[in-house]
Amino acid sequence: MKRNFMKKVFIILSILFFTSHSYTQVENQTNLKGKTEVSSFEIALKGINKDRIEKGKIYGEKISLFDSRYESKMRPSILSLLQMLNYKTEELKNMEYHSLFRTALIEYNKIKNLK
Amino acid sequence: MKTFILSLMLIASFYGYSQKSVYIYNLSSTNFDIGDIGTQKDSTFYPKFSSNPTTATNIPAYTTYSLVASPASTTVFPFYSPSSNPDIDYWSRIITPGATPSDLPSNLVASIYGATQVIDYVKFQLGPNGSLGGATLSLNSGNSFSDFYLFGSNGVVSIDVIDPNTGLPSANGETWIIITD
Repeated sequence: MKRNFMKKVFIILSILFFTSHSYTQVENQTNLKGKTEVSSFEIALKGINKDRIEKGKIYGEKISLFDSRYESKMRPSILSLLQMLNYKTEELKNMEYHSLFRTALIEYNKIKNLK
Repeated sequence: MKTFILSLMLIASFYGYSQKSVYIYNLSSTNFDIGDIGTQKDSTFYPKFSSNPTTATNIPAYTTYSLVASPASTTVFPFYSPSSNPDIDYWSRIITPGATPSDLPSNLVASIYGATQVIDYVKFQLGPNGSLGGATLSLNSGNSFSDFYLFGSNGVVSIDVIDPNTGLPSANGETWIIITD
């Protein structure tokens, strides 16, 4: 009777251990992926911020970060950041640049605050 | 049908954000201190309001700070944003040029003046005790809704006021301040 009870306890504890262990692994992988995407987004944003100052001098105007002229440069980083957050490619491909960029900034903030 | 519902949810999420929110993203390796945030009446300039804190609001390297209207609104400037850390309790009102400023509680300012006020300027400094310089980025004057300040060898403080639905510059839009170096 006691042996049976101990066996059940052991099985339950084993299940709990493996479940929590694999959950932690998945969570770590997600965080790691998130960290990489966030870094690449930050690097792209830094580049674009400098670039727009230079372009602004050439065009003789103050260019907005949301200007669609930066779409080709920013889109890959924005897409990878949003896809990481389970946004579907179909939903993203029809979005205009400013909406995409704005969404990415807000999502970026959420990830940063989670860490 | 599923795609349609998803699209509706996506659109709803964009329109759900406060149109006049202020987002500050410090992606630089140094601190960004806000000395003062100023607003003005959209068409007639006065009254004006100023956050005018006794000590600067410090935004450390690689952190963010937002002012978002509470309750959520697409028309009210976020004078009252209790979710901000630190939040702004009082705003200083100037009714006419040269008039003595008077302090009013932020929730009162939001409910009475929030709908007609737009961002006017942001006064800031960078680095420990402002060692990397500082400036006031002015908006609206001359219908300019983008501005920037350069610091150090690669630093940029940029400000953009845009309509969140069109992405176009707009006096009534939301403000994005992004600092990089």
